[in-house]
Amino acid sequence: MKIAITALFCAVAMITLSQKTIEGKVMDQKEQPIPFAKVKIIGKNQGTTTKEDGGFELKVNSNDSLRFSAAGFESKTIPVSGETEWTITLPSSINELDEVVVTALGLKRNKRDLGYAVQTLEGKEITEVRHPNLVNSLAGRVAGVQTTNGSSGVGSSSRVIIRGETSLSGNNQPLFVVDGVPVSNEFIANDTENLESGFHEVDYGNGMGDFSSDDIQSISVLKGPSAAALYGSRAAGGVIVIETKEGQRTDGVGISVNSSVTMEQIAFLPEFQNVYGQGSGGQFAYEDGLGGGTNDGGLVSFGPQMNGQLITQYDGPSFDQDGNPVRGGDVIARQGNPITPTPWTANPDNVRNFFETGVTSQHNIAFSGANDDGSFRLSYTRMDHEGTIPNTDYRRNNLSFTGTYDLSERLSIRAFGTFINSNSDHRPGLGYGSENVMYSFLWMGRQVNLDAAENYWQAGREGFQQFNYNTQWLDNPFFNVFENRNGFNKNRLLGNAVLSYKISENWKLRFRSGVDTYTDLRTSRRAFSTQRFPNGAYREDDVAFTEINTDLLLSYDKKISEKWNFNAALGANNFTQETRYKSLTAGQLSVPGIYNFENSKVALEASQYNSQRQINSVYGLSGINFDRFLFLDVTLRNDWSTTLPVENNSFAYYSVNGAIVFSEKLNLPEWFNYGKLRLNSSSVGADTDPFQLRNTYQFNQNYGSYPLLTNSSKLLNQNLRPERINGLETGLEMYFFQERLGLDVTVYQNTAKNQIISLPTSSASGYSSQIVNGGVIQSRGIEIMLTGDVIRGEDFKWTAFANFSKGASYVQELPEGIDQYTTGFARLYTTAENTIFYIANAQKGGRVGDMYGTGFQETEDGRIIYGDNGLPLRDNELRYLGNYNPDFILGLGNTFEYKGFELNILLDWRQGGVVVSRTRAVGSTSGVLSETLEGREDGIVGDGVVNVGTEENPVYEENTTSVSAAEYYNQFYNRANEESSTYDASYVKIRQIGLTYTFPDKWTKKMGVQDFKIGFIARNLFTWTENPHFDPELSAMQGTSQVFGVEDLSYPSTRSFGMNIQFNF
Amino acid sequence: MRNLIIIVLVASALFSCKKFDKANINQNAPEEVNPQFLLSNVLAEGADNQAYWGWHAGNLLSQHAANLEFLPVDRYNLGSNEGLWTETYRLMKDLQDVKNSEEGNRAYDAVADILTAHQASLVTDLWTNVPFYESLEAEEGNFTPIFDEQEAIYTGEGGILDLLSAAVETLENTQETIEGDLMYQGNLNKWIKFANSLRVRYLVRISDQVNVSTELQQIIDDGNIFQDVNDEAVVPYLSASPNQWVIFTEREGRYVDVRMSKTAEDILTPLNDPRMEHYYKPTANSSGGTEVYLGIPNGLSRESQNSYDLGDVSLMGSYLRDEPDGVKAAFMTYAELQFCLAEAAQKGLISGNVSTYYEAGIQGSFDHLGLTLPAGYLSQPNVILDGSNDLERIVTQKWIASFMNGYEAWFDFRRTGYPDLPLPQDNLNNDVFPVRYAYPSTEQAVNGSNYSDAVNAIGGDDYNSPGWWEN
Repeated sequence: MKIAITALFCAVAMITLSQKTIEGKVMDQKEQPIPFAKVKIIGKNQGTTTKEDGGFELKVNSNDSLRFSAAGFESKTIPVSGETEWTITLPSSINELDEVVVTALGLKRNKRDLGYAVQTLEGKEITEVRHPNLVNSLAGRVAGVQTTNGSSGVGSSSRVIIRGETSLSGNNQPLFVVDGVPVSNEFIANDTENLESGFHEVDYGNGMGDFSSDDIQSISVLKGPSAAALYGSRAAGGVIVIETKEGQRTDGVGISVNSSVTMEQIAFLPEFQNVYGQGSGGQFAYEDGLGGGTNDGGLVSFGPQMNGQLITQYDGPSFDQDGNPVRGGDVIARQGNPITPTPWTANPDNVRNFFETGVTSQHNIAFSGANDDGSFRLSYTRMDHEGTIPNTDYRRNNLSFTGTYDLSERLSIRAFGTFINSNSDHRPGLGYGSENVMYSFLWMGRQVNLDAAENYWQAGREGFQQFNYNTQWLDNPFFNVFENRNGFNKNRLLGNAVLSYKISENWKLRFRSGVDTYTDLRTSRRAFSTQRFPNGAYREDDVAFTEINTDLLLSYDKKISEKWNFNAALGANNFTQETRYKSLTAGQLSVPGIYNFENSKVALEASQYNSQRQINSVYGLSGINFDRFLFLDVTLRNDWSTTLPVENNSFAYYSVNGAIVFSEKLNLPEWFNYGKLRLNSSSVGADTDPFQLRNTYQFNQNYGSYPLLTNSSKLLNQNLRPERINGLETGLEMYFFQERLGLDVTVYQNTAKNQIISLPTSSASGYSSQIVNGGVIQSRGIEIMLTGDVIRGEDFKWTAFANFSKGASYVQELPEGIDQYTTGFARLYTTAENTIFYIANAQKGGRVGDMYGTGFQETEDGRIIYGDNGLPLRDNELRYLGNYNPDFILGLGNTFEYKGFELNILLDWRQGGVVVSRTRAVGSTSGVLSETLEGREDGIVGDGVVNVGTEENPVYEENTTSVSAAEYYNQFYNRANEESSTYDASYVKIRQIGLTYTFPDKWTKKMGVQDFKIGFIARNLFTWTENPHFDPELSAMQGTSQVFGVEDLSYPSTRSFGMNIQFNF
Repeated sequence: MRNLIIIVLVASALFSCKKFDKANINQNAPEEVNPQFLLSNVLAEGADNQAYWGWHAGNLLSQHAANLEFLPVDRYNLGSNEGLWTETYRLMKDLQDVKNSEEGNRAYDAVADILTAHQASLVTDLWTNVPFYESLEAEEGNFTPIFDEQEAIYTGEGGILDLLSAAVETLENTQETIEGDLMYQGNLNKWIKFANSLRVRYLVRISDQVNVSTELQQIIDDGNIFQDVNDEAVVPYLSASPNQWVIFTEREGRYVDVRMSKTAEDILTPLNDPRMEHYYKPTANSSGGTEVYLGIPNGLSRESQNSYDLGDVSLMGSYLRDEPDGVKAAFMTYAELQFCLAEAAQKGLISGNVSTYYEAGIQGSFDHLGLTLPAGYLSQPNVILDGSNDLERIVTQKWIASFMNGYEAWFDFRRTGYPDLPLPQDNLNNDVFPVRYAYPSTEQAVNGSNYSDAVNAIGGDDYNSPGWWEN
């Protein structure tokens, strides 16, 4: 027995002696780690898997042989003996373009197999320089994608349009899909009107702006209708497919941290003049801001030159009844006591200094882990933002959980849930009028020193009467942002769960359901003495939204032979969406400062709108693939929508797409590594919004006890048919020189028929617009993507990409009974005569996005005609102003890597398109913009002619009449004259520069930290554009919708600088 | 196959159809309503338009008031006033629906016709040729109505005068009743008086073009016209929101920007007219001392205003700013009717004593405002009709009474040239008094060929193409 024990001991000892532990790393050809590669000892049931960083540890015997294998890579077998350095490089088994992308319905497909264009961003690209609004991460990075930002900074809506506007009616936003389940990117605006009274528009942000970039594994952009054919009608504008992160096996504890702080500065301000102050005809004296002095109730800046002469001003010293010092503008306390005149000097930075340095901090911590059966990930993101506009802010908390688990060999489950709270104490007012501080600035004398305005109550009238440089029309900007707040608090729950069951080797069943629900409570407070609300006001807007998507998919996948693969799937989907909107307003308050409906002095005004919509669908898809050379996919879908008339509510979609990887079969030169031709054709349908079929009357505010109802201005249509968009797309994808140079060219054509559009009509017909199935609109375009590993050195690497896109849409057929296709309009002022019409006029090319407005009377050779009074003559005839769409967009990206350093530079060039600017119209009429300096002393003789003949037989002579600058600019930049406020919207931007350094793990490991990265980010660094006053990338919001081609007193856009730290435990 | 069955079963369980059919029924607002609510709406909104536009444009074009800062209208850069165009047609649509409502109530029909006639006269008098006979046919598929001649709108079958006389006849012969009548509380006899009074207004308006004598005389003989201010077609603003007079809650600038005009000063001061102290405030510089009322010329550029001390220019009357319910929005007043009759009598279109009508008009204006007519006012040499310039005095007194009443005083000036308004020095209309708004640019954009025809017919889409009745 003893011997036996000893023998055993010796045997163990022998084994132990010949065993050793090796440590190593498995890498690909690009020296990127390969996680989860299998390391197996041949002939034994022993082995391990590599960690996320490609590293592994294994006990081996010296006579063992190890086999390294990983999906997508060729295996290698290496004997233990003789090897000391265990860094194993596995060559790619298949072409490395066999990138796996997530496509429709969350199906993971090999990119190589696809017959349509998809572009993917990895989470890393998004989080290293994360933008507060996810949508902005796409700017410049994806061909054919155009983003525009709301002007009220972080927290405002960013829009994304893929391949231009296919629809004239909808918002053209793509469908956002998280883990295969659609979610809401909608922005449900308050029920406000672009009016001279009442509450202004406020941008509370687009739905996807709530999402945390840190929870995202990848974003794929499916561009054409074909890619979207399986998602149904809401995908007509393309699809953005987001995959959330899952827990992973890690070396460390499984905690990752990503922290960034950015500072924002205003990047654009209108270019002001600083020579002449407020007043008219060179005269000004402040008395009460109501015309009691000289021109002190006026808004224009054609006053005295600012030479330091002494003039009474709103901040000049005065005294009250008791002899206490007060400011000139403390009119009530002053009781007519004189103001001591003070030097009349320019305050060039009075507007600039109003703005502050914004701060945005984003912190994320995520815990994750995984074993053979499952994984989890718990992530918390906190964002805090303080805007460049004082007292504006935005906060967000995201708590997310992802879990996966294989319940059995066949049954697996995955669930993702995120709870989001976003809130703000104040979002700035947009649009034209006194609630927008830019309005106050464009009507503010250049002599105004705003320091005095910071104490924004009149002496002795705190809470009741604001103090301001202009009491007649404007709100004190500080009063505006500190007292008149637009807050909100939004709670959102978004989640999905997937249950997959593997019926057999070939059959799979998947059940998936997702919910996206939120409530958003918005509160608007207005203090006493607000211009629009002399008695203050309080309003609440309540939005509740729920969307549920449920689907079931049965799929079949079979390798028929060595070369033939076949797959098919059949599914059904139910989509329901419910929106409830409610608004209550107390238009006058009893007691100042109490924002509660019980404090209402008047009857509350209410507004309410509830809607719901439902779509049921069945779909099927089938694909075959021959020898990794030929791929063919067919999809079919049918929808039944509640929003269409019963007899027309069913509509089908199909798509056929094919790909030929010709490089597999052709004998191409060695430098030509890969070539694929894609072709696809599709036909997709679309429904419309709820309640577009039958007219209802609108409630008006009661007259006394008489209820009032009136007609709505839009004629609905009981005979609507579904929209149809037919798409054709072909593309060529090629890689050259060891795949160092990639070229992807796509051309497409989309033909939209029966578009459901709200067409403006003659209001004399009884309605100002009608819902119709529109004519035929065709969009064509080209997208070119170029990627290159310019330098692929040992230490130094330079990769670059360029995305180019160009496209335009033209009207091919007009809707019945229409002689020109006026598809919409934007107001440049609250009155209707200052309107821009979007007219696709077939005689004049018929391009979608053509804008028409009024302008000057001109001779045949294009000279402006002047009246006898020396002022340019306008007429009411609509003329072409330009098209708001760009001619092309080019995004350029460069990444330089040296050792652990990585430098990213992203440029964006948008060429063409025009924008009509209200800043220009207002600021030039008021005389605060630099272009109004000319002719102040000597008057202006306008460049043009005078008709000295008759109207029928004009005889033109050179205009020689001189007029004052005030008169000239007032007429030249008249707000009804859109022509003189039109700018080229082209720009070149340095969108982003990021520098990241990754510390070598050996340095940081002592601290228990890995993948330690520190980054510096600069965003929106420079913009080159024609106009000196505003950022042409910003969008405008009027009433409840965003409008195109119009700049509407936008806030200055910001440039930001920040720092980012990322590491894992 | 078995899997397929499972799919179908699960799928059908998913899609319960119960809610599906009802999901698209809009339960936020009714598809059908009782006509009373539409009638109430037209009365409230239509009357509000009269006062609102009286303040914002009518008073300026008639020179009751002058503007300081926001000068387009006062300097005759009139624009199109598309807002009022759109709203007027919507109100006419409401009236069409009152008539088409299933009630089949002839009293509603007649009342709707009276208000339609009023709205139609407003659009044609502001824009000249406008869609009328083909208007409001969107539901029948006509989205591009032709523009009718002003003459046809007034005198054609189914036109303004026809609608009014037919309405009178209907109301005289119906036993049916209406509700929602926030102006006359369902008193159909008052509606008859209103209709006949409007007929007088429009007959006098077109009297330079058509011989209206017989029809006018018939109306007078029937006698069913406004008898006193209690019959007036007015809708007062209320003390409670949301029915308060708009300037009561508007920002300060909207009030102080509008001032007494020099024209008003020149007309009212020599008359020793107490209405001046009602319409305007004493100048700031004179408050506390001997109160004076001074105006500023219309249409001055901001630079030209520098020669005026605004402390010496009167603001508009306190009831227009400090009271929510001081204003009575008027479709038509008793005073106006009497001045129409005075004019008709003066021109020999009707029998009757000119001075009687004239003095009743002046008395009516004071009654309307709740003021007392001072003794001796009527016998002042510059008031009394002495046969020298009677028409001018009649229309001038009518002008005083038409303060804030929509565009009525402007229409009278365009027609009669009275009172003799000075041309604003800094006008932007080539030294011509404008006679219309430009057509809304939307018509150009969406009703292009009919728009072009109309522009050719009236002689150009500018502010100077006169209508039929003022030619």
